[in-house]
Amino acid sequence: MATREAGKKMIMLKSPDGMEFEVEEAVAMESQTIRKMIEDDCADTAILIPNINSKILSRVIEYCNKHVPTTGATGAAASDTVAPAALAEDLKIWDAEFIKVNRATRFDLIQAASYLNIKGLLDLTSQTTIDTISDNSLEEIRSFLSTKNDYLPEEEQTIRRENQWAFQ
Amino acid sequence: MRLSEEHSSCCEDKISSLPDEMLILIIDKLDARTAISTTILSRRWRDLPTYPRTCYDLTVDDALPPRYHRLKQIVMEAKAGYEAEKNALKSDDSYASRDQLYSFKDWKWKVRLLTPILQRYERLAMRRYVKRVNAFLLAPNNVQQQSIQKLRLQACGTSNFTDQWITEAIGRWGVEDLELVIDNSCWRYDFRLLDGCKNVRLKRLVLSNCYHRFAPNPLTFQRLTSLTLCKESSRMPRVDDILRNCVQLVNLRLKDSSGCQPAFHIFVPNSKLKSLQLDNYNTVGVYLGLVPYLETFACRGQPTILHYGLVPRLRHVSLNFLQTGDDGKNDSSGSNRTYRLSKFFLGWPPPLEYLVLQLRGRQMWIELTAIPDQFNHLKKLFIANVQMNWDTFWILHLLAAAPALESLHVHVRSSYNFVKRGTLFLVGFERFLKPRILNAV
Repeated sequence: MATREAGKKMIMLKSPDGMEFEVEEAVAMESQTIRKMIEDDCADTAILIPNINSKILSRVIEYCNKHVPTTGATGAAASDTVAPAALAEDLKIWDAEFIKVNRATRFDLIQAASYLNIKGLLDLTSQTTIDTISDNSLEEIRSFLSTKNDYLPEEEQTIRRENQWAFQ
Repeated sequence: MRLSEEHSSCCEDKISSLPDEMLILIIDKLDARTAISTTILSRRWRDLPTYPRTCYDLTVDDALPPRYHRLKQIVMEAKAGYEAEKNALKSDDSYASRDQLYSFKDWKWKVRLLTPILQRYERLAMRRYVKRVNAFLLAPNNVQQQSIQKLRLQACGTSNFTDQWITEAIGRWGVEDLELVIDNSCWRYDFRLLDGCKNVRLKRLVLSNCYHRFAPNPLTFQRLTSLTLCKESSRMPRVDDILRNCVQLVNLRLKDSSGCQPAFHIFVPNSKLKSLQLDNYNTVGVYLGLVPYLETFACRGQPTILHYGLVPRLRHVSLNFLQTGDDGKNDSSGSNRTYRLSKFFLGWPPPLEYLVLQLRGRQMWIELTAIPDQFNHLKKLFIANVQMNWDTFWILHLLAAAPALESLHVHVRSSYNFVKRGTLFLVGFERFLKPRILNAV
């Protein structure tokens, strides 16, 4: 990472556990939160990213690294003979591989993506949860989300009655 | 996915540590029905301050099991296999009877075998679906329900309740944006039933396989700004009648009609129509007689005659023609293969600014004919799917007639198999043609 060609501005990201990551400005700007900091000139040397440990932060940077050239170059790529569809397909496969992590990491990634405001990563990480909720029975969803049913039977009946169509 | 293997103590109660806004974010991405069903999970989920839902998409697909979709996929693939073989034979100019093709037999065999199974699944799903929609739309008045702004109903087949659904959705719930899709069947609804309702707010309507005879004129249609008629829905009324009845209409789209439609002539002085789209409508001809506010016209499907009348505001025309020539006739003489360039500009072409021509299918050759020299306003010209072996002189001809052209894009496509199918080459003429145009002026 240290040897970068001149002209590309580098940004230092710091995790609360003391690790430092040097990334290209364009990569860091994938995060709307950091973009805003840079644009407001709040970021001179290093940006401390609170709440996100180095393990998660490195994964987030990995994601941004992969996604930055495509978002930046879509306009240019269209005039080239390289089919953008193939590129997008490639990225999809990479994304699928990237998200093969355990649940705890995934939830951490959701939080990181939300804090750093990276839309693509947020969509990617929350999709599994959305799929689980959409495709499974109530009990399975509860167990996946580690939620306990704290309703009284009457209360549950009321909810079911009021939104009967959703439970048909 | 397997839930248990990841379910270790380290992430116990992990989701509860997700802040509310994160849960809301996830809920907002769910469809309305699933989102509402999460309220039953626990009190915390019920009390989340989610945005109130106004858009509902009730589709029968939710009630169909995955196996149904897999079987359906098998039939579709068999059909695609047959189509591919048929087209391959066509491009070789060898016409074989379809009964001799293996892929055709394969497709027919699968259809015969799987159709009863698919139909059984559809019947079961419809039964569940009818219950659900009834509980939603025909709920008794004492059950509280949020307002419905946008509603999509997609059923496979009709039910005795279809009439009631439409009446309640538009008349009682005041839906502004309604899409009604009835697959495998067709339904006729008399929209005059709504004439007495006070709560009608309908602005946008999409009908697929559901129609109304447009005369006499129901009041509901007079407020519509956007109307899309698909499949059988688009067959019944005359386009002229639609525009005369829907006086507020801005967007009209006619899509996927079965069979060939007669030519239509639009002459509506008081129409507010801005955009007209024909999508596989397969009409013989379009005569834009008088449409004062029309800005965009798009036509996709079989080549059709386009005749311009008084369309002073028409700026954007997109013609996406696919000549399938499915009649199986051997036309190696070439007489039917050509398409006169002047056919795109019949009548009095308006001051177009943006013209898109996409020409596909083996019979689409352009015959160079004189075109009216009236493209003084044309700024953008986009020509796609030009066959590699075509004579492209007609493009230069068009260029010469468009002195104000700012950008030209031509996609050249090879029809030969040794080039990967669907590869597009983009040729930017912009730079070197600009001076030529200037010289021509």
